[in-house]
Order: sequence, then C-alpha cells, then structure tokens
Amino acid sequence: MTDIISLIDLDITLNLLHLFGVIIAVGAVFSTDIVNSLLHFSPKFAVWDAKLAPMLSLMVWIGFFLLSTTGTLLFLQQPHLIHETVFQLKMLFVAIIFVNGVFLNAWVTPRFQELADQWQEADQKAEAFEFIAGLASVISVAGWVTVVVLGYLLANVI
Amino acid sequence: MSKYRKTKVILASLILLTSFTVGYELHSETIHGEENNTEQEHNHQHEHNEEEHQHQEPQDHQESNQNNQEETQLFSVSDAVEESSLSIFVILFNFLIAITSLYFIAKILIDVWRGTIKQ
Repeated sequence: MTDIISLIDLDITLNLLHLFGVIIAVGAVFSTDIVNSLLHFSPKFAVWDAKLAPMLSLMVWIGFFLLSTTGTLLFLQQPHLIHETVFQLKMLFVAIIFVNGVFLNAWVTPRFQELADQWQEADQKAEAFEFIAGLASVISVAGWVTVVVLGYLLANVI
Repeated sequence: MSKYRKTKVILASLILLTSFTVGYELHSETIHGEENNTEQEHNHQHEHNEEEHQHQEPQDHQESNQNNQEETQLFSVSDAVEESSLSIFVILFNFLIAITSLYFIAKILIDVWRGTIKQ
C-alpha cells in the first residue's frame, strides 16, 4: 500500500509529468526536423509535410504546456534554484525556444501551408522560406537539446 | 467580427480567466500551506515531546510526518519571492508560456476542426 501511495506522491507525479512534457516536445521537435530534412532532399514530401506539421506543432505546444505548468510548481518547491547560473541559463534558453516556437507557429507553419502546393515551382520563394525555416529549426533543436542538458545537470549534478 | 475571430476572442478570454483562477488558487494554497505549516510545526513539537517520553515510535509514522511537512511547503509563492525578486519573473514567464501554449493548442484544434489545415 505504501508503494502505491508513493506512486501518487505529488512530487513524483510532477517530476513524471515534467519528463513526459520533455519527451513529447523534444520528440515532436526532432520528428519535425527529420521530416523537414526529407523535404530538403525530396520536394515531393512537401504536401505530406504540410499535413504533418500542424500535428507535430500541437505536440510541441502540449509538451510546452506540461513543462510550464509542472515547471512552475517544481520551481516553487525549490526557489533557491534561482541563484544557480545553470538554472538562469536554462530559463534563458527556454525563452529563446519559446519565442522561436511562436515565430515557427505564427509565421513559418502558415507560410508553409501556402507554399506546399507549389513547392516545386516556387523556386526562389521556396529557397528563401527554406533558409528562414531551416534557421528557426536549428535554433529550436539546439535550444531544446541545451535545455535538456541543463535540466539534467540541475537535477543530477548541482 | 467573423465567427472564427469571435471563437478566438472567447478562447483567449477563457484562457485568461483560467490563468487568473489558477493564480488565485495558488495564492490561496500558499496561505493555506502556511497555516498548515504552523499547525504542523506545533504538532511536530508536541509529538517530539511525546517521543522524549516514549522513546519509541514506528519509523513509518515519522517518515509520513516528514512527507506531510514537505508537502505543505510545496507551492509557496511568497517563499519563492522572498528568495529572490527574480522568482516572480520566472513564475510569470511560465504562466505566459502556459497561456500561449493553450492558445496555440486551441488554435490548431480549431483549424483542424474547421478544415483550414490540409488533411
């Protein structure tokens, strides 16, 4: 019985939900980049990518929601973390990937939906778009990896 | 105003209302937690005195008391703000992320429902 109670312990539940958030968001970010890489090498994937992109975005935002809500509650348990440089750096990178995520959803995804049908014809437009979208994707992946590494350091090393 | 815009405004209002409610609940929880904490400290002192007389208490009971004490300190916003004024920015920033996430989740779901997104 004690084991079952420990499983529904609030602290453990929050940490598990935080971890689920990481898995969902990082998994979706990596999946998006793999699909975008396929598109770079084979433009015929454009329509397929346009169908998949909103679903992957949805997953990233679900992950973000889980991470921010559980993150707030976890932070309230350990407010002393605010003095840690690693935590401050982590929050800085979270801010970067958040702004980048808003840009990806507010500009990149709708633009891609428009361009997807004429992806093979719209050469110059597609190239310019691909450069900006690629840059945002690189920032996204690098940012998420950094946040995960810093989070791991906070939880296990510091 | 189009039906779509109206839906978005209603959703944004609902999200804001939810965040205010959560914020208020969190604030109430803090006050409640502080009250409980004082009570628990009092109880703990009382138990400690009893322990001195009895010298024997099951270990499980002690652990559960410790857990209870930890739980009361879980969501103390005031403690976090006392620690550093930067804490309030972290909390508000997380709320901003949560609200924005809810907005985008709702937007994507509405787009899928309306058939705006290619399927």
